[in-house]
Amino acid sequence: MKYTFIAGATSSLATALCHELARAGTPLILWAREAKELSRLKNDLQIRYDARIEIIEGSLEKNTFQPSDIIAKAEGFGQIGSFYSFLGEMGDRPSPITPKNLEQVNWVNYEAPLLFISALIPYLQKRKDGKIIVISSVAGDRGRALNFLYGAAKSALNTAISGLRQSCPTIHFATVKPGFIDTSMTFGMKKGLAMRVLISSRNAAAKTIARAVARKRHIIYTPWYWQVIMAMLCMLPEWLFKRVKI
Amino acid sequence: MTPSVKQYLSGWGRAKLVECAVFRPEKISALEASLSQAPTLISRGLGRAYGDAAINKEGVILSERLNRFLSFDPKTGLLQAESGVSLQEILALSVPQGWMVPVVPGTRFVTLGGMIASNIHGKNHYRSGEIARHVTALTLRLPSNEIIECSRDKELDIFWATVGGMGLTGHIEDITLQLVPLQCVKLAHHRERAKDIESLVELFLSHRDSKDYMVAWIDHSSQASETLGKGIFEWANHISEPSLPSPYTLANPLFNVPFDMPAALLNRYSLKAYNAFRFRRSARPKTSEVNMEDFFFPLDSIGQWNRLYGKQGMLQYQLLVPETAQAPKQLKNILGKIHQHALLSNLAVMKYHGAHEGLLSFSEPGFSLALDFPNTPNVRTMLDALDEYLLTIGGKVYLGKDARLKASVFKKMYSSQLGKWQKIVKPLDPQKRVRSCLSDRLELK
Repeated sequence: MKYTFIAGATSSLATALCHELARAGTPLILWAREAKELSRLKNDLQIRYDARIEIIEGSLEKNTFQPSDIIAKAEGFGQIGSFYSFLGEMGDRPSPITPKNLEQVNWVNYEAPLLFISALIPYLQKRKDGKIIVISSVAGDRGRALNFLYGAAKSALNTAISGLRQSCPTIHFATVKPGFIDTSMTFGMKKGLAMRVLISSRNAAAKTIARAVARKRHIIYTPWYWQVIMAMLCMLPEWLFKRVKI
Repeated sequence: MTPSVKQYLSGWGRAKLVECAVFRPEKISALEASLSQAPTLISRGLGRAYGDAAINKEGVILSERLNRFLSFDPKTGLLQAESGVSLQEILALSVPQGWMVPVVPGTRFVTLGGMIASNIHGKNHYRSGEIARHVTALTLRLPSNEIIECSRDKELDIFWATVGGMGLTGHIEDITLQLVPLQCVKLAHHRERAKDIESLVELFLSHRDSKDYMVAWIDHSSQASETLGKGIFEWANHISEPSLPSPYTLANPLFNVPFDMPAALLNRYSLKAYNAFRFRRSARPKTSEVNMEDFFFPLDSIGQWNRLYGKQGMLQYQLLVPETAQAPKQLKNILGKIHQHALLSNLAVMKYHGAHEGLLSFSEPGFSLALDFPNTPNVRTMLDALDEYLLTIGGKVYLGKDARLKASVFKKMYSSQLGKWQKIVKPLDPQKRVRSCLSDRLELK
């Protein structure tokens, strides 16, 4: 069975997905920065599910980040069938426009995932059933005051994936757009009524994602009703949207 | 800066609600940051302590996402896990492989850390002691983020101060637990009626050498002094015919209490009726095989059952009467005193105990009674009177259930253990950064 490579495996939602996939018997290659967390995650998955787990430690440091080396190392364990990118960082809310912020937000949310994908494409193109799944966000559907730099980077990612979908027809590209998920990212946020009602569990989100990817869906909102919410928000003309307090 | 959120927290009894700054670390680095950031802190698992042991305004560290298994040897049954792992998760892993947790409380929704901090006992204390007996090592993280490895041959003082220490020595990070072999998920089970307390005590004593688990349910609605303490005695033994389901999944509760019930729901009439129904059902002695989860975790059949007490919440009072010739009379006096205050305990569970291990621990050779009451001023007055009576007979109250004990009474009850515990804990936390509403109330530090 081919491996699933998970970039950013120790993030909140990624961990939930690791459990979901390992429980189903999928062998995993986990890539993340914190070695101790990676090794604890590996042991946990192996003990609970008797799963096959390989780990590769690495960081997104620009000078040392060599995705082609990482993918080559991963392929050394076995053939990669699916790739998940959980790379993403929201940054401060609201985010001031400074060269440093721009560089960081764009690198983590847009450039690094694309570089990983570009290193992987030559391998997947030769195989049947290759899948590339990026975790984007509903924030990329429309820019709002609180997190537009993050939203812009995710928006760029969505557009790039759309282009890749067209240019690499033998590979399945899925864009996952989570709404409010109960993770360490959202834990500390001041939650208004909407957020408290709409927040959903990471385990439920992981199940939704795994199932939708297996069904080869292209754009995956989780929970599903975010597709409706975002469709309505995107229909609002600018003069109206700019007044909406969200 | 690690995120924290203001949340209202209470114990399982919901008698006191406090707004706390809550941290929920998912990584060790976030745990370190939480300990540095919170001015004072207490760790919290699944919140099953009945009282205020896991509440603290300035900082509560939730362990639920630090719940990874670190190692498990299926040949020896030695398990190492982070403190946020739940008993349910441990059983799901260990039972199909033929291993069982040697001491379990009445609910599976507890964390390993919580079990150790309260040094839980089960229906087999006289035989297997508390959970501490089966812990071979633990990693303690002090509020300074210094790590102390404790085991049976290292830092023994700190080990014994931490088990049963109500989380007040620091954050328990990793725990090594020795499981015991299990052949079958069913238990041989017997229940019979007992006509009074003397009969119950007699039954406990006569079965203690041959039975793995014993428990009694007392029909407290009966007020006649001759039958005070009449109830149902149950014993259970492990069966050796091999039968281990794989996977071992425990079904969710059949029914969840959806919201706070009106306080009037549990009144003396409904309770009398419930007790009468329950005890009539067990009129004849019955021996059968039962699923072990039904015997061990009776509390789990109804989800959120604490909501039955409504907004006022509940108080559980678990007391211990030392094992002497006077014990049956003393137990009768206790049940009688409750009646004298025109009160009824909703639930009265009796267990048999041996000696304790761990400094602040509850068990002594003797009999414990766990009593449930609604949280009202009358009940509190009555419990104060019971405290005074317990002091005269050398009895104790269990901190894992306690929400209202006075510091002066506590110090007398635990006088032989407290001084030594405080001496060990003081240098671990000189700035008194680890604290809870319980430790403040009982002046533990």
